[in-house]
Amino acid sequence: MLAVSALAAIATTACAADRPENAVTLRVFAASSLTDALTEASTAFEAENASVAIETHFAGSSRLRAQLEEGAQADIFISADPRHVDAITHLLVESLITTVATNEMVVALADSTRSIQSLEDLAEPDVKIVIALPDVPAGRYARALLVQMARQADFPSNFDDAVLANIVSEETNVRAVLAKIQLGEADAGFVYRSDLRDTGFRHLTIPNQNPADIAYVAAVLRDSPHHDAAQAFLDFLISDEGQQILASQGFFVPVTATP
Amino acid sequence: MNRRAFPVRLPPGGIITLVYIAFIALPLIALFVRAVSSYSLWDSLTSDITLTALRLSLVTSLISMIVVVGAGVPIARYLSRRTGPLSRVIDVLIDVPLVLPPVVAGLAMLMAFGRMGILGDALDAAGIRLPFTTAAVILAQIFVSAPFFIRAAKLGFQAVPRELEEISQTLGISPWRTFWRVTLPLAWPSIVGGLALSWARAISEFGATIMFAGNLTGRTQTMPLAILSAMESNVGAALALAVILVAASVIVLFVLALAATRAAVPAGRLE
Repeated sequence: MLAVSALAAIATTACAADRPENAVTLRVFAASSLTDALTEASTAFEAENASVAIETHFAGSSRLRAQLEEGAQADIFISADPRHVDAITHLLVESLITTVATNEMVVALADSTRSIQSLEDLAEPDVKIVIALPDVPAGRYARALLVQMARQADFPSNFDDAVLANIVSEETNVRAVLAKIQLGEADAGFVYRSDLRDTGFRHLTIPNQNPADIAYVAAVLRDSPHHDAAQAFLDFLISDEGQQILASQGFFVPVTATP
Repeated sequence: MNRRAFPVRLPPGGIITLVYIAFIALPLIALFVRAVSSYSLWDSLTSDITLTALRLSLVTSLISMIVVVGAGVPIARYLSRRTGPLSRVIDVLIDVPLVLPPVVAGLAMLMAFGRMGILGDALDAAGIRLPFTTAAVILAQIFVSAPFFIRAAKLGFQAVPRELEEISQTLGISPWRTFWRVTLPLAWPSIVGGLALSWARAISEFGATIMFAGNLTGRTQTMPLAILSAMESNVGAALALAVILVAASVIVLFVLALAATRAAVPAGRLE
């Protein structure tokens, strides 16, 4: 077992070798939908802060929350749903909870699927729809929007049930939904607008969304030994530069830079 | 041998075995303790999602094993007699799924049998759509688990002395009957051992399934997928599912281990 840890230590130091001795490594648990944006932001932040390394870990926000509840060590948690932050405020530094961006849902369509021209077509029989699990933010938002659509005059009243009946798979994070569409196996899937960036997916927009509903909330873990560095990273995310990166990745950034 | 000597001495192999057993047992014991202390254990055990996933896991893995054994025995028997360079290549090819990460296996199956896959159009013309179906779950299980069975069964057949089969045939017993009465009983422990390994791999299959078959309650959500899905909302439910899966697996493995030893007896009587 010692040999295993020794090898693991060699493996990790080898990667961090180009960092200064006193380097701080921030472990960031972040929603899957932030994968590209946060990777870019981390690189930019590290370029300006040589003593800080960012180690990102992406998964569905609900899973990350469960891992944190089970005692996983992290310095920062960025959830795609404020609920998962609210649920574990006892683990977080409450004064440092910050909204870094917002998003909206769209329906991504597979290249091969020409039969879907409008949202109403999602309720047609034999359409294969992929969605995130109900407890994953992207899954919860999508289901809430379906209910909301069913109440609108433009949609039949059983629209939500008809669409839910077409679901062929429930994924554990939004990027897995996107992957199924990209592979062309499913016809349509509920993803975030930011997920579509660079993918060239055909997509349908969902009307009447409240831009504040899908908020990415970042928080520093109370047990983190690096509160200052963690706060610096959050400040970077809401700085002009950080917000530009998020905006370029398709997120909405109504968040104004704080002094 | 030195059991009674003082101080108590264990050979190095024994010490390492003890450490290893502790390393394996501790996480499993912890899993049970946490699951039992979770107040929702009973509710989780009897919930629809749990029972549906358990049934799907058992049914799909049973079908997979019928296919794996049905095809695996003739394949293993055939390969056990071949020694040329070509058969070595085949041996390696058969083992390839063992080294593939399951997600890659699932992706590869999509590339072949998916809607966009090489056979996609042909399958579609035949009215067959595999992704997101229970059939896809079974195919994924067969893909990842069959090599375990074929390997073990092949070694079992190779260990059967050729002379015994030849004697049987010179006595006028048909090759088919010889296979049933001589070869199969002698190879039986290896075959059952291979079946146990193969079944264990099939029931725990996750990566290829979620990739190729997706995750939908009652259709493609087997126990491992249900555990991962439960993790999104409730660790207690995930623990309960995990405990059931471990318990069911241990029971099946014990039954198979028993079957392997029992069957070795009549084989001895043949000589």
